[in-house]
Amino acid sequence: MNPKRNQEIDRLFQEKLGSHDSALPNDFWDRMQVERASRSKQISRNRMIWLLLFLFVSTAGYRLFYNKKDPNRQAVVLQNTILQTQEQSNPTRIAALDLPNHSELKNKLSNNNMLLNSAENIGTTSEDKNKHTEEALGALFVQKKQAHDKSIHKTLKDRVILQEKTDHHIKTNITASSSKHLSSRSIAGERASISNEIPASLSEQVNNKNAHNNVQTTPSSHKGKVGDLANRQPRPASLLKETATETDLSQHTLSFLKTSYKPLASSKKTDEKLDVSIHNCPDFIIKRYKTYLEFVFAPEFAVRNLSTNQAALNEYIGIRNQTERSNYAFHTGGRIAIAYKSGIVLKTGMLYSQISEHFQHRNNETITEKRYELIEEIPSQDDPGRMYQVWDTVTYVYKGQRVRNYFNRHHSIDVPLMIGYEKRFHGFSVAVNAGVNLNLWFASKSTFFSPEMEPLNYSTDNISGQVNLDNLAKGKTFKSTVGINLFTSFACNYRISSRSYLIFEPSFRMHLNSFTLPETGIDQSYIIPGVIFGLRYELN
Amino acid sequence: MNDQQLIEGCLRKDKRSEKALFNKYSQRMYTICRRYARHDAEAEDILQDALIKVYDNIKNFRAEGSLEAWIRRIVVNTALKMVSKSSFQKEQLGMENYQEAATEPRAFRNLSAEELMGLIARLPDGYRIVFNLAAIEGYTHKEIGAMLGIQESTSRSQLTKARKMLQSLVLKQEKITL
Repeated sequence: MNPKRNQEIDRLFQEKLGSHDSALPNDFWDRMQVERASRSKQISRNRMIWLLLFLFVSTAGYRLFYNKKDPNRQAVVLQNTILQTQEQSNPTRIAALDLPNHSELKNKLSNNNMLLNSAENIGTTSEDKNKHTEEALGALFVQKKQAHDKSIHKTLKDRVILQEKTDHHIKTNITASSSKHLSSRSIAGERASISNEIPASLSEQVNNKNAHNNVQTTPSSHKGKVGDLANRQPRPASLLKETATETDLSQHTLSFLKTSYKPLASSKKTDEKLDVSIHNCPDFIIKRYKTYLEFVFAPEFAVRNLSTNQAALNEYIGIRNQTERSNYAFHTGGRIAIAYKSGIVLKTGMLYSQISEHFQHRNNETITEKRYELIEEIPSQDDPGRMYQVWDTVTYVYKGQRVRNYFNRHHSIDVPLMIGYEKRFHGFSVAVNAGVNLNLWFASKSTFFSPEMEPLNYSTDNISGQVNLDNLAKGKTFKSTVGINLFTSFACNYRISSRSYLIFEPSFRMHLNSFTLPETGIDQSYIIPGVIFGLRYELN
Repeated sequence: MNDQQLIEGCLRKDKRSEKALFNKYSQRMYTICRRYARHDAEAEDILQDALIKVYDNIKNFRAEGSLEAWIRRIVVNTALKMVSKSSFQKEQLGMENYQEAATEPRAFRNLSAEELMGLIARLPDGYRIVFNLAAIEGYTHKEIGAMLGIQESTSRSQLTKARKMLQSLVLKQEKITL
């Protein structure tokens, strides 16, 4: 083929078509504006979904990878909590235990699931003094814990039994010699085993204390040393000169033990529990979260949004908006909430929701005929005394406006997936929640105007709901599931008993997808503000 | 309104400016869309998508070229997205029936723009797209290959076949006229 001829042909096409204008359909601009509005709405919805997804994934990731169970940290935190609890209940006892050469024993004593009640507040202590020392001891403790569990528990049990037999507090000094013997032996053994594992700098402190058992010590003189583990709060001046010997230690230790065991060792029945607990000696079972069961009911107001990308349907949508209005909406159901110590709350459950709308059909040219039958009795002229019955009919014709009311209802069952942050105060808590409701089932039964201005029944089941003008839709009008709706709320939970709360939760739901099938040419979606009322019950 | 005023108005989301821009360029762009599309409905879809992109991205317009060229490029790119790569794998049908026909450019000169559009519309998808890009828009085969994800040689052969087919169609039309 001749290249020159080709170029000539190309040039001809360029000249003739390059500046050629083609006529556009008249409604093209309007259609494009509708499409633009629809797309910008879709973009904002997508952004919100991504934001929620990001929040959900980041929180889940945080829970799974960052804040996972750290045995060393738990050991230290548990110990801190126990000691703090003991300090609050009996400062004198703790002052004695502050001696550095007893820190190992305190660590081991803390490894007891009987003290779980005290562990309720784990994670809430904020003292970070001597953090590195604590972590070092915690790590060592975990390493040695299993090896020494049996001996420690035996010692603990012996002490408790001994204390139960005497049935007196340590002040009476009963069985001083035997307790001295027990405590000296066990403490010496434990100290020897642990001090082998303690780094030189730390064990030196411990050994120094071992060598000076009878030396008067004060807690304040051991800041930054092993003994500072429990030394976090200022001591009363009267305690600073307290003497601690091996004998004193045993007495104080027994006192400490008895106090710690008090909830379980208060009766003979609980001794059995104590025995089982000691022998099973599980790892720390720390309650890191609470589980709640929530029953909710939320009156709501549904704001409907009808839109279309077909210019021909704009007028029809205007008529629909004039003749229909939101009546009410509500949702009710149950939710399970898992509230972590960190304040993160995860919720799921099952919710039933209903949107009710009112469609009023006014027919201005209604003609109503009312026919009445009249029965009269006329006396017979031929036969006096006899009565004839005469039947007559009267018809009244009424012309006027006929008003018919239809109540349309959209039903759905959703599964909420929510994440929130809860701040707890004394007697109440507040929370911010956000998430999505996944629709499992949707059904609608509605009556509204067809494009031909005839009231027709539309539902998820019948095929009479032909909305669009071009007869594109050949199937159902409403979907059988409506995808997801976004949910956000601000919750206030007021404690009404030890385990129950009242819920007051202003909420906001937004349906992302249309209730109607795309073939209908009309998008019908809802924004639903409301207030959730409910009851929250703590399960564990 | 000149282009600069149109751009500033569109940046302010001024509806009058947007409508003015639409009035100024939409018909010309619609011609382009019709050249690439299989039918008018598809051309309208392409134009709608392209113009929405124009309004949404006008902030990214750099005054390095004319506004019309920038819009034209968006329209062409949008049109190309509508065409699948498979268009270029089905075009072998019946080419042996199109004989080498030495049609003079004069034969095309006598045709009106709408008639030329009609001829282009009769080309298979692959031929039509390459012919539009190469012969009318002036893209090189390398650029067309990159835009459509095809080999340069494929682009070249598609153009050759498109020209052959157009000449045959013109010849046939001339015979009918005579």
